[in-house]
Amino acid sequence: MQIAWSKTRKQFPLSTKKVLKKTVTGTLVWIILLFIIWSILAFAFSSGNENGGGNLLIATVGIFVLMFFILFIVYFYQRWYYAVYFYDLTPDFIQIKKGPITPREITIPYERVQDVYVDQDLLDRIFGLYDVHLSSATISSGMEAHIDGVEKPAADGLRAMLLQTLSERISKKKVPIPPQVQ
Amino acid sequence: MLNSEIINYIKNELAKGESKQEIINSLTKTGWQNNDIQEAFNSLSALISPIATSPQSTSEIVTEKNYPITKLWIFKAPIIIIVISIAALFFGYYFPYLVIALPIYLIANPLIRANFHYATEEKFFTVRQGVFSKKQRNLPYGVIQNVLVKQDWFDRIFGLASFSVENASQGDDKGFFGRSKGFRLGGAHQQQGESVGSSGNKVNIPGLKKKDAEAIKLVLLQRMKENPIEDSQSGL
Repeated sequence: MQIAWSKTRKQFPLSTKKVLKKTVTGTLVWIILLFIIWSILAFAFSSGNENGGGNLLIATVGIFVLMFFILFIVYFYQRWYYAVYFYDLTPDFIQIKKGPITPREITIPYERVQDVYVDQDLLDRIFGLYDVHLSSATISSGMEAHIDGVEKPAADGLRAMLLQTLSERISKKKVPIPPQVQ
Repeated sequence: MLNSEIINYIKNELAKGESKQEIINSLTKTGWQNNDIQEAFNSLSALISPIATSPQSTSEIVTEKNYPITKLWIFKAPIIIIVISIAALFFGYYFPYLVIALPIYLIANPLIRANFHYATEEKFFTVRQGVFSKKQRNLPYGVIQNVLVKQDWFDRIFGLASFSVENASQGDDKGFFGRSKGFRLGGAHQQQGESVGSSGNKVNIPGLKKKDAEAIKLVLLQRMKENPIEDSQSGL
């Protein structure tokens, strides 16, 4: 799949482990659900008629096939999501675009960024991933404007670069510095 | 020695409204030679004139005439309703209320579309809208918090996109009878679905062609760059 490279993504790449993590989170509920269904079926068949063993085998195979099917679909979708994930720190704006089927693109001017923070959830800690959040004062930016699934060096680099650019841009407005003689 | 650094500096300062003499003063203070400065100014005036007359200049004002809401948008909600109804019929469900909504959309949407105007004016992004109760909103470019381009399933299939800009205001959303919509759940201004034009802290333009949405975005980003806000709200 064609990866949506940008200068920033080249410098601070998304981790491929993000695909794995997202596949786990995406399928966990299904797997639990299927396991519950399987338990109920197992209970029903074992307490039922004498042909229960055969039926249970068919049900188990069916559930496994369904599970792998879901796993495959989710994995494929996450690969796609990973490929089209676009983020770029241009000189004037931060641009983030994600979503393979229903794309959402947000552009934030540096001056409007309200905070920059890095966090990890439980699975992120297991996989060693970090989410870099930056948001302006709107609700939608809180939902859209984050770069999730980068490893520690990239997360630190992104944060440092963001903070650097932010402070530069804010101070530039106050004191214009004439260029030095060469 | 003429270099781009000094030219850029002069360009930026001029854009801020500094006078030529002030720029020359600050440059001489840093140690630049007088003829260098003069040369930079000369090359700049040669540079500026063709740019200003080029059609790509953002001095041109983009309105709904350049990038209109497509006619297809009128049929977006009806098409979705029909598709859902047909899908539901296959499962043996039937939603008569949805079908009643169809003619309402077909009457209301063309009116909303015809009464919706926007313009990227020099200092403000101006939106005029409203069929019965009219509203005009002027959004200064400097306070725009973020710019969004979104596509949902329908948009993706038909090559549309919706474009929106947000500022940090609470919005002053009046209901149909001029009553504030403060009684809504939790008092939160939730913007679901596709509002047209200004609502809450958002100005949304749905049903644009994808490339038109991108074009408006570029024009607006350019405007935002030209009109920075002096007093930054950012705490960083």
